[in-house]
Amino acid sequence: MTASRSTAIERAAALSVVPRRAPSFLRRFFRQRGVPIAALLLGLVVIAAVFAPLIAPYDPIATAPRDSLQAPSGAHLLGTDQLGRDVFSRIIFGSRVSILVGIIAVGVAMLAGVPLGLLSGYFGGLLDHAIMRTMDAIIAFPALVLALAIVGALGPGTFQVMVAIGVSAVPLYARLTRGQVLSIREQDYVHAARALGASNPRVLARHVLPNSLSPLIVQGSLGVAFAILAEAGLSFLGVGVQPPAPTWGGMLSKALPLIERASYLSIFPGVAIFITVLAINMLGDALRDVLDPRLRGI
Amino acid sequence: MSTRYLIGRLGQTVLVIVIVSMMTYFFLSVLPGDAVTAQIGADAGGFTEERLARDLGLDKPLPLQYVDWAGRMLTGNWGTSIRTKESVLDALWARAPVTLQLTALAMVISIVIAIPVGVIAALRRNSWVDRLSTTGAVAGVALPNFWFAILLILLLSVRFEVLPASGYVDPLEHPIDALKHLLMPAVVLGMAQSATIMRQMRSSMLEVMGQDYVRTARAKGLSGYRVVVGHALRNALIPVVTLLGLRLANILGGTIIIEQVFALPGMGRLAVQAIFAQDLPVVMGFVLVVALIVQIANLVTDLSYGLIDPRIQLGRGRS
Repeated sequence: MTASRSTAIERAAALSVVPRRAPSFLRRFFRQRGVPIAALLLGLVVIAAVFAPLIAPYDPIATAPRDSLQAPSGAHLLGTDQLGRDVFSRIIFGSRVSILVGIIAVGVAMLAGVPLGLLSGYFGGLLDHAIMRTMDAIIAFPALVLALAIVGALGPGTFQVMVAIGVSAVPLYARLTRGQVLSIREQDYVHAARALGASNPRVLARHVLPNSLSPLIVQGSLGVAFAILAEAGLSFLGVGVQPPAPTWGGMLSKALPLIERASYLSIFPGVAIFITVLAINMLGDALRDVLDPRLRGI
Repeated sequence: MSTRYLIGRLGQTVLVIVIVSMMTYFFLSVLPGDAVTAQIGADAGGFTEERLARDLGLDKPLPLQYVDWAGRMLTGNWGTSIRTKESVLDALWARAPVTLQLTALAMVISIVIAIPVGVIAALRRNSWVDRLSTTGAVAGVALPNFWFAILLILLLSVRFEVLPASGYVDPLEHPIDALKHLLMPAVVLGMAQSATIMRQMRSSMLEVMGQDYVRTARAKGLSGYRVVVGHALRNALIPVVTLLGLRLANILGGTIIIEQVFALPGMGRLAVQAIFAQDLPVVMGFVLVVALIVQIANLVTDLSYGLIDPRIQLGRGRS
């Protein structure tokens, strides 16, 4: 009895002296279900994008009419398209466009949306009304319709697609930031900073913005997945990144008329889009659960 | 529902539509290739260009141009297509039935799949139905709809030859054939939306099932079916209805690609052809019609809350 009591006391003392450390962010992140697999898949896609010239066995653009429409084989792992180009090499190079458009489109959306949300939420009043009604109007267009209209206005091309997808996502970031700012601006530390004479830009940049970042990071990561899907959709329609640049959406568009003769052309680029978007979504969801559990279910 | 709320809500919708039309006009008016060049070609002489610009009212300041344009739109003059010389309103009107039928069927499919699955997943939490539906929803969100369409064509048209891969048939002439042509595109659009609706249905059902009134209903001996349908479902549907309004916009957006895949002669396909031809009047008309439909859908969604749950008194302050 005495012995067990003393051990219990010792254990309690040991606990109070050396408090258990909370698991690190990365450890918590990687403990989420599916994260290791999703990270591995996305890692492979990123490696493919970065080292495309080293990995791809053939030039993705050079045509070889003699080799056209060859089924998957040892020479051409995923077959060749109607112009004799190696499908595997085109998928590897296609990852560059997808990842680049995904990241830059989200960058464009955040670059415009976050400052608008900060201003709207922090200053309120007429400025808030003007910004938010404009955002409402942008949301009235389905994202793809808006992106299509912008590409229609600017003409097709990689840069235009990035801008189009980015602009259609601006309201999302503006609204999210505004919501965060509305609660943060009433916090004591913001009042204290103001009382100490900090200017508005300083309060916004040093206190409000850093504390609004978590949901923005989560939304941004999920936004990359949306942007990749949107780019694939626009390229599928033929108004996105222009040929001969290899894009997954563009490859599927060219494969559709050949669906009966060469069905393999319709499979692999789709698998690439699906895996990439799935991996990013899973990582984004896990990031949300770790960084900002309040957003679960949104 | 108070009349004051109704008027206020209608006013809000009109305001957003006005801003939307302004944005459409201003944005598409500052294009590199303007309407004058599109109509007479890049090589026309300066004199012709100037005259046509005056005829089109393009020499006036932009706000005045917008007022002129909005006035014409309100009187039903939506301009003519640069590509086909057809009236824009007629062109859209002729293709609207295809897009609207597709959208409606897709919506029905998404609801028919999502609501029962969502309810079962919530009632049988952690069962195989729940796990399968959650996995399906995660995968469904990542699946590009045009690729899903291609896979279905491969399976149902190329391999088993049970449904046609493309084309449109008027349902008034051959209803069964028309349904066969629309089924695959509608399933593609509907399934994509059902993933999100199902997740929302599941979580709101889980929340409602934990409420006191559900426990009371159970305690007074009601059957499981009556508890779920009569008490829980009705309340759990409110957030789902909000989502349906938003999903409609996504389905409409999705029709652009899906009409292209299945060669359906709808508004989306018209818009894509117009973009290739830099046919701005048609692009503007399409964008406006879609924005209009989305706004009306949002309005109807808002007003329908009162019907689903009579306790919601729109426009009256909380007591």
